[in-house]
Amino acid sequence: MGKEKRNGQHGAGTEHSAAVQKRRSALSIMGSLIGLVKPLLHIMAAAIILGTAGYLCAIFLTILAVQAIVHGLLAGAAGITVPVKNMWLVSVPVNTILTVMIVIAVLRGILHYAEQYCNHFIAFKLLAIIRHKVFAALRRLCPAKLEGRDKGNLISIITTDIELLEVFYAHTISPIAIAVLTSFIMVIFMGRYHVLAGLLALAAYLVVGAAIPMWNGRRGSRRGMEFRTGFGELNSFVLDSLRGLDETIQYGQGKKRKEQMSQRSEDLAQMQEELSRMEGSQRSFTNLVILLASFGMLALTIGLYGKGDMGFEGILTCTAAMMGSFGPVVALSNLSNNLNQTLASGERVLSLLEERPLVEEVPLPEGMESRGSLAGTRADFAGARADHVTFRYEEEIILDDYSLKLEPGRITGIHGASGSGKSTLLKLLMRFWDVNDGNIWVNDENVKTIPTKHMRNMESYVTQETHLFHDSIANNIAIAKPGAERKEIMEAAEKASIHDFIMTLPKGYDTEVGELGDTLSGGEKQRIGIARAFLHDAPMILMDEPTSNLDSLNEGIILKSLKESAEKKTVVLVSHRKSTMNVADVVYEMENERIS
Amino acid sequence: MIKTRLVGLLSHAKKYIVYTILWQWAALLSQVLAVFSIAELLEKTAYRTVTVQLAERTVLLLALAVVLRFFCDRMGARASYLACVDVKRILREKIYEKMLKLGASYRDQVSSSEVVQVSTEGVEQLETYFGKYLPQLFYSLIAPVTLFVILCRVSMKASVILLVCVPLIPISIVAVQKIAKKLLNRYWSSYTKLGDSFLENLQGLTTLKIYQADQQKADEMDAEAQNFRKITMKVLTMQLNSTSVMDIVAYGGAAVGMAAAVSEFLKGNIAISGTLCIVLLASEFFLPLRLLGSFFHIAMNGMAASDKIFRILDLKGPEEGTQLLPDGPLDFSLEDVHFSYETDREILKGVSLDLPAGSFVSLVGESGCGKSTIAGLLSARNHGFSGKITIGGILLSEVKETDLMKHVVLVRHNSYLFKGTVEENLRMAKPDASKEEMNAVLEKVNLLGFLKTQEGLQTKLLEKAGNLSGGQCQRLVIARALLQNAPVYIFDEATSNIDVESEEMIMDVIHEIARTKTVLLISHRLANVVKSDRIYFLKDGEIRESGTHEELMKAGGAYSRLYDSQMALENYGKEGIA
Repeated sequence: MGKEKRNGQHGAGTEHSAAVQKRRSALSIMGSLIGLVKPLLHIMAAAIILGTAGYLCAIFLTILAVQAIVHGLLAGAAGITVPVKNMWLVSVPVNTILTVMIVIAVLRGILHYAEQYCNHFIAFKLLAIIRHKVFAALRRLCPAKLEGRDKGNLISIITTDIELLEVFYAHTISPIAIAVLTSFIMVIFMGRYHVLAGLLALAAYLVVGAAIPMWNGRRGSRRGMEFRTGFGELNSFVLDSLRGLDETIQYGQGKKRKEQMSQRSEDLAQMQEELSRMEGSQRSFTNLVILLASFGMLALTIGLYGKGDMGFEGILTCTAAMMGSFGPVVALSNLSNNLNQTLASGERVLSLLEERPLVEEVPLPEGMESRGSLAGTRADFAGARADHVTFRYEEEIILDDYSLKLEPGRITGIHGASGSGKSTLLKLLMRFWDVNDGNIWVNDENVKTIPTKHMRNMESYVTQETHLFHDSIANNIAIAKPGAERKEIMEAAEKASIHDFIMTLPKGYDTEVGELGDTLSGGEKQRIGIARAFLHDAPMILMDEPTSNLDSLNEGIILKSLKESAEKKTVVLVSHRKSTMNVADVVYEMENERIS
Repeated sequence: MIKTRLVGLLSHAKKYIVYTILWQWAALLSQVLAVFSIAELLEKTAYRTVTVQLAERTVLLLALAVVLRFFCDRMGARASYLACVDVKRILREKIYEKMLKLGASYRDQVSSSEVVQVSTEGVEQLETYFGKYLPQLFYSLIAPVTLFVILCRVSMKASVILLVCVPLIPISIVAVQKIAKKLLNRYWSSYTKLGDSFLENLQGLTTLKIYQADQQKADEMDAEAQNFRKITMKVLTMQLNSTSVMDIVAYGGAAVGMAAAVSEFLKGNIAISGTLCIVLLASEFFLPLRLLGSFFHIAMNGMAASDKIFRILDLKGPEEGTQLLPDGPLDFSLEDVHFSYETDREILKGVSLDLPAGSFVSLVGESGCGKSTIAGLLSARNHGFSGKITIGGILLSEVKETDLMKHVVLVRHNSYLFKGTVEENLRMAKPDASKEEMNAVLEKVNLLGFLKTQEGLQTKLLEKAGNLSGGQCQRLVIARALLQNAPVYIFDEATSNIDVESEEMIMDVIHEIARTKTVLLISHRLANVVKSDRIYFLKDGEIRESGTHEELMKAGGAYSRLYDSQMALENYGKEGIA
């Protein structure tokens, strides 16, 4: 337990350092986020222009119909004449207007299609780009960043963040730009009839598109968060109840469990009620403003007409334009709820991309083959040693002036209680972290100067729990040597005493791990991890508590294969179990020497 | 389009759906009222016959329209909320009730993953189906008809054109959806796969770095993303086709209607006000259906989900026995029991064994030999065997299941702990357990000391008890089972894959239980069964050997060979050093 706890602090430490960075302003976050997707900016621009054009087509349908009416009035269709000031649209022949109406109605559909196509194209490209970048960043930061207790938490944060960012790019930026652009054009359009008409329109757009969403966002976002949290909790309660159905039936707790489920649902429904009331009030206020603005435009233009400042066509055109042009700003009203969260996500992802790794990798020297030197290092591998090593994490000293020699070709056991720093030593040997004082030597070279690629070729590392990928068994082992042949994989599996088990599976080595579900036991998983290490064929194998979660039978199987197959390899075996130490040639006791 | 059975199940929602529709309809009427008064005012303005009276009346009417609209929006939102608020709760309760009714053997009929999927995603989709889709479906039928009735008095020709165009929308959607549906399934599987591999590569990143396979995985993910985008864009093209067809029909129809009204006006057939009414209301014919179109895929998912839900609700539970078990020690007896999950693969091929009251019996054999199936049969997790099983002299199938559960406790290697406190988990087995009782069982499994360093009985467990180690989880599971104080305990690999220290503690507890209760122990590790009164060695669904450990070792059969090889392995290191 103690060991995990400290690892957790490692994780928390890196988290902390990211949080310390200065907080960015909303605008600079948005700017940086847009910068992330430079290669897509032209498509985004196209989406915005197409979207704006689509909205304009819809708006001008009514406006054009109104022009035809004015045209008719001028031609004496109603037996009266009206004063007209602004002739630019009215002078177009009626038939042309009617034809154009049909054309833009069809265009609207096509433009909408094109806009949506662009938006989705961006969304999926983006998802790929962001994931690529985040993965690349984590590849640099890992393993220090992903070690420890908060790993699962961090990973889930990252995945949620990326999803939210997708919403931001695909469904936030372009609606805002479209609303701004369309509204701007409409303000100019109405302004041409009279300045006051333009100003009224501008005010109405601002209220509907900015003021109401902001007001609503402020009062609703906390509630919204509460609701989402509660919603998530209820879902996991339901999930928990179903997964534990066997136990519930065994202990006759069904009725009680059901009552709890109902109680929680009802509590949540109360929260939902409030939220739905808020949503209803937002919608009704939005509609209220739209109606008031439309009627206000009618009153204003009639007033201007009365004073002779506007022609009759102005009343019809401006009123129709006002009534029909709220579409794009209404679309904004739903965005505000998520925007704050999205920005927070954006900031986390940006910090992650900028974060510097704790340990800088050492590149290969010019002209050196990546695997060429491996053959040289294996036969005459000189072992490794820790030389007066001190390592502390933040204020806590984990290793203090510690020295140890790992003889080549032998199994060195390191035994000690949890929290004695055994695992840390392995991580320093892997150079996941750098020492504070002293030196770590691998094959007579300081780890700080060994090209990372070479070092990885020299070391295999078996973790306490083996992570399996959703892939075939063969590919899971082949992780350790991309492109390995089936024969090599089978040899490694045989050395790890897992070959016979694999052969009993329905599709042998081609069995998908996912299909097995929970049927792989801890011992079998661990043996796959060891098969990886054997396939990697590095001269040194580091093992971190490989048997701590296994029963004695499985422990025996693993120790046997280790002893019999690791000939000539330098093995470091870290464990708190005395029985595991039995296979070691040399055993070092590690005292709990940490000063805390 | 409408699932009558579903609506019947949630009949109380019906009236709220009607309310939602009515409020929407009233909002439409207020819109019509506003447009008509505006049109009249404009006509009078053109003829220069606006009077103060007319102006006042218009202002009054518009104010009325505004108030009415505001009110309708609010009430509509409320009704829509009320229509769907209970949907999830009721469906979840029904499903859960059904599962309880199906009892311990529910897995025979439905996979637990399907139940989970239906109870979470499935019911959520139905929520939208009730709150949004159903009201919109009716409203989009009522709205055009209402408008037609009102506007046909202004211009029959234009109104007929508008009304005729309306049905084109659903027809086109249905046509496009038919093609899109097939592609959609492929899309979703690809989508989830993409998310999964990202997540999993992050989780395994340390492993990838150790073996320098991270670059390869990054490339693979990029290729996957590329592939995903291609499929998705194909699907979207289909879906977008349906929206653009919808748009073209909606706006095209509105345009044609407007053009017809304007032509009538130019010919002098209708007045300015009438023409304006039609021009301003034309799009209202189509907007409701367009919105309905955007809910369409939700409705499709909802209906699919409801099919699954009803399939589960229609499942028939096993015949419920009625006999109660006597108090005191109980014995089990199996006589020529056959069992198979699938028709062509028999798991148990005529097993006969006895579990005398108060005895300690073990069942061993390699994985897949049928050990767990026997545990499942005895604890009613599996039904449908042939042969004869009795408990306390009563046929197993005639025992009331809840009573069986009180008398027979099954502990598996993956027995479940609920999210909540340690106390809540313990109280499952004995709701009125005192603090002392709970502490006593925790002490027995050696967990009390650890929990005291936490928050004692109030220590919180995360989902799947993720904050405890495997060994601690299993010890807590045993403590809970102890509280039940049942006459029969079945331990199915209760100690596999946990640390050695916990394994020893648990075995000690099992040995202690075995002194007073009937115990069946199933284990792949033979060292654990040595002290049993009787050991059955199972292979390929048949009992090959039975007897005490000493007898079996003396016989020198398969049991003794397996035992020797296991001991050799376990002592491997120790011999090496000696």
